[in-house]
Amino acid sequence: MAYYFQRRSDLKASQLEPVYKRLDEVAIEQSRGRLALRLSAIAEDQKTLKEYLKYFEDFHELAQQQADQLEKRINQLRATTSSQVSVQTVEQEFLKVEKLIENMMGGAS
Amino acid sequence: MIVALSGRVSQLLETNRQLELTQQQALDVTQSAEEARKLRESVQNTVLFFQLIQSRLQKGEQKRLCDLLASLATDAANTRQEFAKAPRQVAALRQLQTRGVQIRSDAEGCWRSYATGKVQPQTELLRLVQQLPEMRAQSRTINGLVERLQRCAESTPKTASDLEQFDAALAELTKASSQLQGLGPAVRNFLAMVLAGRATVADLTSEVLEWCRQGERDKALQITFKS
Repeated sequence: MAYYFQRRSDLKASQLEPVYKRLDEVAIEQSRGRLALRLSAIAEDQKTLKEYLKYFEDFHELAQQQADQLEKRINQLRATTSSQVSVQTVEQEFLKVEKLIENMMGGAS
Repeated sequence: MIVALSGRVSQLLETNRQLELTQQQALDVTQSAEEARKLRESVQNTVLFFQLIQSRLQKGEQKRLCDLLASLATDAANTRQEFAKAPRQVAALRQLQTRGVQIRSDAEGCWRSYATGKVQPQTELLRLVQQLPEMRAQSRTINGLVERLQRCAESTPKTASDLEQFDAALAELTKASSQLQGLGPAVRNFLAMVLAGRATVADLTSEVLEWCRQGERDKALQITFKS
């Protein structure tokens, strides 16, 4: 199963800094009047944050799916890999072929 | 949380890559093992067959087959060394199997050549005289022997017992034809012409006529008009 996450180059950490700064200012604002003004202007920041949050959630969901799928696949691989033929078995077959002919040559000469 | 998850996915991807690589190598080893087993069985059969018929072969044939098998053993040893470096040796092993089959086929050809060389002169002689009165009683036995020998020559012996049966049948056939060994070339030529339906009065030389008058042979022959 292939996982593909569409990376958005328009979403940058540098864009979040002014938003964070404005939220910080709202949090510490003492004046009711200025607080009302700041809150009225926060709708755009809220929209931006929701967009970022959705982006992170989508990434998280996809990464989680991939991690789950990989764990299943790894368990399957570990179970099947352990039941394979050993290298020594093949080498022994080769040696038997060589020995058969060598013995025959000994008998033929 | 996202960073930790990303790290975990990255680690799982690496583990998965390693395991897939290991599994591919294991698959290569398994497939090489299967082909190596087939090669061993094929070589085993060829060697047994060679040992069985060896004494019947000419020195030149023996040497040629031995050289081919020795070369196969050398290449098998080289492939074994390659296998230690790269476990996927399926193609090389299949090539060796093909060579093994060719050597076996070559040895079978040598056997057929030997057996035919032994059987054919006897059968040719018996074919010429099987219509003669003194041979009629043995005709069925002789034909049975010839058929058995021809089958042996074609099918190739698998065991020492098969070879003994071939030798016994050949000895019996040789014995049956031994009483005819005294036939001169003129009589043989005449009988061949009779069998082919091309004998003429000119073929009845004094030697042939004398031979025809012996026993009841003259009763077995008649002269007809050419159609």
